[in-house]
Amino acid sequence: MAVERFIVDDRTAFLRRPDYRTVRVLALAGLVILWELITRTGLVSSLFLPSPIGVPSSPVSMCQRL
Amino acid sequence: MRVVVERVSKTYTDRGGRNVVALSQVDLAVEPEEFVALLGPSGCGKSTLLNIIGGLLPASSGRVYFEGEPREGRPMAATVFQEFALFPWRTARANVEFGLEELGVSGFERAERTRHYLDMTGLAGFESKYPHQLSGGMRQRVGIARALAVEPAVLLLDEPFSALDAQTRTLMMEELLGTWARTRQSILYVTHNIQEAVFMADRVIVLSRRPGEVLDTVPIRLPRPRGEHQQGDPAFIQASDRIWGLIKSQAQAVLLEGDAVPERG
Repeated sequence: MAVERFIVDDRTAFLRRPDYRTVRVLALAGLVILWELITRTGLVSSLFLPSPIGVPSSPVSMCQRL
Repeated sequence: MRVVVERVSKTYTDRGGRNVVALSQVDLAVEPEEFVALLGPSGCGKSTLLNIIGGLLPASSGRVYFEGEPREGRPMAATVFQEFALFPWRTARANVEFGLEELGVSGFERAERTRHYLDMTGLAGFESKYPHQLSGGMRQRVGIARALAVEPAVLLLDEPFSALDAQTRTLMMEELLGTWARTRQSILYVTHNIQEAVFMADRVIVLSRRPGEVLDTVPIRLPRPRGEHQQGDPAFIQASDRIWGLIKSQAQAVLLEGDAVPERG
């Protein structure tokens, strides 16, 4: 009688997710661009939502005024 | 069933992007109803090999297969982990039932099998306790009962008693041998303790330090049932010395690298 063989499968294959590295970077960049556009077009006042470029430039200008 | 490991290698990529060869061209077999111990220094890839056999990790090359006649509703392998790996929100009974639920075993049969394996592992009266209410030895008994309950073709044990104190470990080893005598399942038992391997196994497969390769296979010619009194038996001492001879230089090299060495006793 022929002996049956059962190859061991990788039972954890379903746990592995594809790594969408480009999508992750683009999504973050898109969010920052959208934020910048919202503040530049004046949809939201920069008093309540400073622009992403404005945030790091503020301490620089404050230091220059000293 | 028979387990065959054929030219299995495993290479990891570490955080620095370097390839680390954990196992290299490992060949071994576990015969039906055989108790085999896999022994080697820390970091030699014993647990990696066990996980590959259990299907929890893919091999980089080579293959693992089970040979024989499968029984319906019975998985090829079940693993008992070093750190128990119990569900803390489930009682001992519910932990043992888990594998049976996954297999789709009906309620009545599930309850019967759970009760049977809880009794067999000495947990009668503790079914409703949660893992945090149990001692280390009892937790591992739940882990063993959970693995036995699904009635796997092969039982894989990854240093199951290393988290226990010496006295509990000795008692648990004897209990496991008693359970094995009743169930006669093929067992692959990973350990880095030479005495434990010789005490338990029919054969000890010795692995080298990383990359893990089979150094030799040592048959243990001690009669069963085994007991503590056999530790002074010439066959016991001879087998321990032979394994130590195989592993000593490996252990010294590992020590120089700063890893743990295998325990001689």
